[in-house]
Amino acid sequence: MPCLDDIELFLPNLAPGGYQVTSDADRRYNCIGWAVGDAERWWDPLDDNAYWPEGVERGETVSVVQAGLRTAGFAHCEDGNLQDGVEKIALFEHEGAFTHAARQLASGTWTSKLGKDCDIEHELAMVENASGPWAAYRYGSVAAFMSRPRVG
Amino acid sequence: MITRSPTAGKRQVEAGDRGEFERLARQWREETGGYSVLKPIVAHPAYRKIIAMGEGALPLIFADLRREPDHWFNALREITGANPVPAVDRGRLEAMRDHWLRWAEENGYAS
Repeated sequence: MPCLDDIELFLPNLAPGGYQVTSDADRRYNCIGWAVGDAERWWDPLDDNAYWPEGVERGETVSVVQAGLRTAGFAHCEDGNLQDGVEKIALFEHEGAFTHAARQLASGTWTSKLGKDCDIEHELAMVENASGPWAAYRYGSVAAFMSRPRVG
Repeated sequence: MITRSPTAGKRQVEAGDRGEFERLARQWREETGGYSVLKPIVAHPAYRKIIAMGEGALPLIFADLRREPDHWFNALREITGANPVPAVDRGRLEAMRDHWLRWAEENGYAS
């Protein structure tokens, strides 16, 4: 499946030419799976038709998502500044609920899986969006960062 | 929970049902693609209308799953009361699809 046509309409802070679509649309995994390096599963803190680490609390807040990501080796960190040997993720929140996760690449660029749609590489602020025309892409803003040692 | 004879699901799907299903499924996909979690995806009004079609939607959902795996599992569980997916496969779209298509075959919804 191709990625959505109107990506800059859905995420109005994406600057034309300032991001790259890096995959076709793929329903098998979501942004949380992509952030932790699991492109085979849909991770979901609320829905038991999806994967969530066993024994980890469920809910829709960023703190619940942080608890799930600790099982993948991530710990809280202060910012998204690039650090050698460290892989960081940014967790987004809108109106009190977790909305999105992005992962920092070794280059300092960020990569996001957009729901059931495609992966993109972008600057972090480009996917911040609290008022775009489509609710599905209102990711709000970054609420927390986490990090783990970068492998490879 | 629905338990059916092997031929029960083979009733003729009305053309109107199919058209309505396809319209709702298209709308659902167009308007939920970017959501990162399933809650708003399965709460979308078009998805709820498909669930409200009840058992009549099952052959259409299974046919759609055969064509292109998607997150129909909440709808299937709500309509049938069944959950044939073992915990180990939760979140694995194609494995979940396969479990449900096996369930469909065993319950008379084979194509």
